[in-house]
Amino acid sequence: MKLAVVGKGGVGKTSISGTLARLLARRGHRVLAVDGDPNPTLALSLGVSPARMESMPALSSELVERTDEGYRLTRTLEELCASHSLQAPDGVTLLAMRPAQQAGTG
Amino acid sequence: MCILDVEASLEHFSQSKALHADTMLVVVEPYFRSLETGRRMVGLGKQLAPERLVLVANKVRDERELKAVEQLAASEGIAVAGAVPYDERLLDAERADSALLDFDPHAPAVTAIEELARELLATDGDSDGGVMPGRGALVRGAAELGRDG
Repeated sequence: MKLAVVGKGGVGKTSISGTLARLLARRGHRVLAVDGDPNPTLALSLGVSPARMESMPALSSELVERTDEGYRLTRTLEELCASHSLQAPDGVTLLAMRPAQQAGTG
Repeated sequence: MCILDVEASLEHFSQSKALHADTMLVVVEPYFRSLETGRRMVGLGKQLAPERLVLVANKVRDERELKAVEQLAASEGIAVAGAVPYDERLLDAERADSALLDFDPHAPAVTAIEELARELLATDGDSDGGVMPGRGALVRGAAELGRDG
């Protein structure tokens, strides 16, 4: 199942996504949660501490590019997850589509 | 299984990552403006033609509010997959910098999201997620990684 959760800002989609991800994982499913928001908050609703979230490397500009269609990856998710994801509670893997700050990246 | 928490703005929605999903949850609050935004998102969602397009009502306070969401669903010909009640515990959890599930595993909102999870699994026609044609790295990666078991 590949599930997209959409809705107007503030509608509560991140709270629902985070809780849903963990509940599905508890039912024995392997869950990858992807935060597609430039200001990532999914980590918090998954129960990942802000400090751990900060320690996660942002996607560098060669890994993710911003297009008219949104963010686009230049690698497969599997490759990215090897280096740019962290384990959230209940075994959920979190990948934040947070691009690195452009400053100094050329 | 892969869950995408998609950017809020409508501009990024129609041609975005959501394209690659087989299931799309449109979360709405039971207020006029949110419902109207929800209606537009459902319209965009129909263009993307995921296998499942459903509404999830959030912050529902009473039957009347749930009815408003059900009316939208009926007029769009789609289902309401879940109804999450307005839950003060969520605000308390946020204040405590905690996930709702850790802060209060028995909060009404958690119970409702549990029901939503059950509903999504029960009506999942393609659990191995390999059918979507998809394009781009995201869908290929997600399909590989999302295989259960």
